[in-house]
Amino acid sequence: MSASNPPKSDELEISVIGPGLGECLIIHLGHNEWCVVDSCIARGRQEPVALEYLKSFGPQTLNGLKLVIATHWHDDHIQGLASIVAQAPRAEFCCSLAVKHDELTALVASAPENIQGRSGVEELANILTQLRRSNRSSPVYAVPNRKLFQSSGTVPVTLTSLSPSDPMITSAMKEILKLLPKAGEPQERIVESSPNHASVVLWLEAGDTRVLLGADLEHTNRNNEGWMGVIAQHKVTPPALVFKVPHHGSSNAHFSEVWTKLLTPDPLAVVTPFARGSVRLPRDSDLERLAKHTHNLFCTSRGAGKPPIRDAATERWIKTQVKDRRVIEGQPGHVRIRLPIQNGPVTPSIELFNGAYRVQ
Amino acid sequence: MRLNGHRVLDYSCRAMSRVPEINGASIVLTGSFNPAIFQPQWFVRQNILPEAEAEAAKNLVVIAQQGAQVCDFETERFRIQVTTDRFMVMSKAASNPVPIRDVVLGTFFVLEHTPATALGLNRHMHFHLDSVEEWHQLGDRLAPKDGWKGVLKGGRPGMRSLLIQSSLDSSENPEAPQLYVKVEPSTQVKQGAYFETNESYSFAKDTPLKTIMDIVRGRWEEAYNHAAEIAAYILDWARK
Amino acid sequence: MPPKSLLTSSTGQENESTTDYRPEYAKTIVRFNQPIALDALKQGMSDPDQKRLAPQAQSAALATPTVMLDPRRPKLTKGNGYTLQIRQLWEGTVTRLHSDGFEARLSDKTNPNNPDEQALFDFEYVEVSDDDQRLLRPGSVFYWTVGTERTPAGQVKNVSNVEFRYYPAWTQGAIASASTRAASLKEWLEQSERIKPAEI
Repeated sequence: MSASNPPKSDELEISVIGPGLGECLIIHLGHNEWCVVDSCIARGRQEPVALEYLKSFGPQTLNGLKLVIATHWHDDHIQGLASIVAQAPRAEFCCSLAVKHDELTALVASAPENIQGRSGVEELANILTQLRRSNRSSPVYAVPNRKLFQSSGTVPVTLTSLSPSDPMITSAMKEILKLLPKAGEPQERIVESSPNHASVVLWLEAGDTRVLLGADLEHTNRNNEGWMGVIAQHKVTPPALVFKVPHHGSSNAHFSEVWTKLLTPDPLAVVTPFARGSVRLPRDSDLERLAKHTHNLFCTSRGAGKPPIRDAATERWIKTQVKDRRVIEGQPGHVRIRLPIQNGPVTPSIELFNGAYRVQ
Repeated sequence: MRLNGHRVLDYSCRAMSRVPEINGASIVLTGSFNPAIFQPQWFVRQNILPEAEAEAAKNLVVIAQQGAQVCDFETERFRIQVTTDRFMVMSKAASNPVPIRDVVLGTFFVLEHTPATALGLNRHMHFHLDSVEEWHQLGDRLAPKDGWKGVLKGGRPGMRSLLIQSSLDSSENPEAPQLYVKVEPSTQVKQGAYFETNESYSFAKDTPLKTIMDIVRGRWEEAYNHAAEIAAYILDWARK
Repeated sequence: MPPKSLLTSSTGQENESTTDYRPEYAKTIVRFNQPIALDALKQGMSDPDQKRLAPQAQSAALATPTVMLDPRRPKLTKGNGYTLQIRQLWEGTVTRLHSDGFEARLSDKTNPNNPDEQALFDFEYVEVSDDDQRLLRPGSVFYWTVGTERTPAGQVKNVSNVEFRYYPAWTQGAIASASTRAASLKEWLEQSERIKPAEI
């Protein structure tokens, strides 16, 4: 099975690619119009997975890339996004309204001064610099219930942001404040430990089909924040058939009302793994919990695989110095869902590539 | 294979199969410097060197005379030499060369208004070759002797030094960064080959120092790896 | 004539090649136009340096002539010292501290095609110098080198070394520069007229 056959003109596609660190969603909105949500780069590759995938359909495909969305600035979601923006001159860039807040603007502006480099903030700074230098539009800002895209086809396709709300942004800015450089303090690489309060959750409608893309939004148990905030502000519409599970299936992103109020029974749910720090997501318990809500649960990758074998002397040193060690970047597994853009019931096709699997 | 691209990806793995016996690197800036300030304790105060390393600095030469003109010292990991128009950090043969970048970035993060005119990202490697035949073959392939034997009759012409220049990118701009690769018989490793690379940038007057440091920050590791890739490629090519 | 840019090169050979590209500045470095205090000159010098400079400096102190000094041109030399053959180099970013160790994300600098790894270092086994201890916090960056060290006597031993990357603290200047950039960025970000209340 090959991933290189393009969707039909009247087909909606939601491709979820997750290599073990990071995730990327590639959406065909119909009529060769595309949207990329977040970005990651496969091990040993130069180009982001989204560019490799879209270019596999022919170089003209990039001309149809209309929208590039950063759900948040953590580097497992934004790696390579500047390159996508650069190679898709017709695309608009969309990010959380949080970027306009003084705290995040200051953090982004300090990125070029920080000699440590290599963080999601730097990537976001690169994107904004690139847009400015090439006289492209400033970003489209995601807020609750904001229409980001609307197709001109006979069957409408719309993409709407459901977050972040003001309280979510306020909460996120408190965390950002802690990361701002202060005179006399050491320069450090930003390691993302802060919660994802200002993530951009997306709602896609194509005919009668609805899709909920959960980004990394967490459940805070506070009114108007996290998933409670999304549900509180979401206009009542028919529920979604397809769900990109938030935050790699972690329990702190789980809110059962999402399943009962926003999703159809037994939706197609896709989770991407995450392996960094002391946490490896989704845990078995996460998959068990998710599987209670749907029989159609898919994961893009089983994990990152074994560490590379180095020469014997080096391996000996590793064993003596390091108690625990694991690979955090695997191959980019790919779950592809395609369905016709039409009114009325649809039968989606689900294709699994490169290690993606159905959770039994 | 093009050597004048920024990457030689095909050989990145093979390069690793060749580990130099002696390995070093240096970063050189030309411009206008005040050597008086570049003393070991200054680097400690700026958090560029650990205190213990600076305290153990050796061979310190500071000429302090109404605007010092030389500061030169060695630590366990680095040799730092500053004159009025040249700043250089070089790694020691017993240390990891990569952190010299941090000394440069740290120094000119603090001295942000220093005028600089040129930058060199340099690596030096001495490789041991498997056989004398391979050693001769390297010289013969890089500098064929046929022509020389016709005129240097009775002698045994051999390659002493070869310097190759290439622009770093494919542009025709004469001011484009240049890459110099020098190959010589090693004077330090028996049956060895010496490779020296110099990735050289020159800058227009008033180029912001930050622009130059962005090159150091963004390019250093690639320049360092590229040097190994070039050496590995040439050594493999000569052996065929 | 060598190209101008060769001024930025350095050498790793014991004996330089026959062509000396050294520019004039490297040969004429110091001009003592004023009397010089010998003690100040000697301070911090090694013995050979003192011996080399002493006669010149003495004459400088007495007669204030112009003294020409040719500084040693640094070379990467094996000499009589140690060498390190690096087999494996990682760059690590500390992601979490524990009482008995630290977690770090390791990026393979020897073979960049290898995937990043997460590793848990145990203080019992990994040696972090006293100076480096104070840098140990989430976000700090270090190099981990594994290789073969050759001693002056020719002995060979496998070594492993963790060294933290040193950076200056944030300066007022850098923060002011970031603030200026932030103001300009914000102005541009505000240009977007598409920030409107909910549209559906």
